[in-house]
Amino acid sequence: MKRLAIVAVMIAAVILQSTICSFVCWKGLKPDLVTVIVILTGLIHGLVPGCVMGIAGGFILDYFTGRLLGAGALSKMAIGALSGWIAPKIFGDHLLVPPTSVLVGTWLEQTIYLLLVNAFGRGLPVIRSLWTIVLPVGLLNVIFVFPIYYTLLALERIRSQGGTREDG
Amino acid sequence: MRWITARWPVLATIIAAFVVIGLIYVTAEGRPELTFLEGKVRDGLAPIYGAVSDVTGFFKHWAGVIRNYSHLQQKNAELLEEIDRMKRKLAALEHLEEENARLREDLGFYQASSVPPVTAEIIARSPSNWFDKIVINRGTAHGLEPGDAVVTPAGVVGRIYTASERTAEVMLIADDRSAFGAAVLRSGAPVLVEGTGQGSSLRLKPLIKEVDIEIGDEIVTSSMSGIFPDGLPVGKVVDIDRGEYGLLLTAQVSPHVDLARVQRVFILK
Repeated sequence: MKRLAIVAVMIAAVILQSTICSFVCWKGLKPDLVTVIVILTGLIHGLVPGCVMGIAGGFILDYFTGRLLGAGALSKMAIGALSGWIAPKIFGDHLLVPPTSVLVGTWLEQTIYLLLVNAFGRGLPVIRSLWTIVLPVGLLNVIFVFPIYYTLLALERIRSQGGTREDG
Repeated sequence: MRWITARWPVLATIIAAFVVIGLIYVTAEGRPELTFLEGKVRDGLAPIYGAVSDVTGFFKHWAGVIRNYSHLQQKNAELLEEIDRMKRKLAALEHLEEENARLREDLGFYQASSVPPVTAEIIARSPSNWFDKIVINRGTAHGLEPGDAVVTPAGVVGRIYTASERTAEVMLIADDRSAFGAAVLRSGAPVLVEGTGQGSSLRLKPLIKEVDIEIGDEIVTSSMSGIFPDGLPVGKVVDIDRGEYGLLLTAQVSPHVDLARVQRVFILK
């Protein structure tokens, strides 16, 4: 059930990215909601959930993109694991932690992806792509941090309340 | 056996890593044919894509109406004036149309395409910022085939890359896999236009040694490449790099069609 929920959330994020987000695109770029979810899951739930969300979300995004199946899964898994690993060291209640993590995390994830697709023959100009894609996507993702962050927290609260009731 | 069972997480990770790297390698160049499952998944999701796009379009439309309400009265007066002007222009155009039809007949001119183009709505775009593609709500059931040219009245958009029964994926001209023959409208010089994978930017390379090209030149399609019909607008030259010693000329072309926002396209058969 939990696995199905992860897949459903990721498919919904990819559909939103393919449709609604295209209307709010900035300079032809759209936010990467899957990366936002992966990083925030790592922050809230830790290393393993961040990793699993990264693999699932990355594969689904790759599948819908249709090329380089697995590249997104690897880059998102890495960033999910990193945010989960780093969370206990930095995570507090400060309001700036989620947006900063998403900003830096997106930059890292997109850079890993860029290097990975170039390693498989894409030949994108690295410096130019950093300026024209990686940096703006990080900024765009920050806009969606708080709605997604509080939705994830609310879902977690519902889940834990359900668990408590069952236990009782 | 015990050695393997004790180390299964490491072995599983290594095997998974090889599988993923293999997958990336196999799918690096893109596949012009969809698998059965991919086709069915895309067709199955088409109504969801369509519904979400419709809802978004509805809200976008009404948000625009509300935002522009304060200008509506002034706009109304301007439009009434415009209608009068257009009526006069229409009368003149009708006259010209008649004359044009007569002249075409006289010259024995035939329309290049006897088959009417297929109209399609864009229901989804690439979820990734690294690849340029769109998905349209027409597929093999509507007679579309991979390779068909996709255009708008403003210019070329791309070509059909894969098609399922009710949807088709369009490879945009800005995709880094895209390349087609074109010509400089002013001088007629043949050129190659390539996608860069960098949003709405195209790269132009000359196909002859001394090409006559300037900033601001219009680029149009050429039927030589067998992809697009002759003379469709592509874009405008915005930058020219003549390279060291002027030997390796490349130019940057800004496409006429806003590929990030195009909503309706025509498919030429």
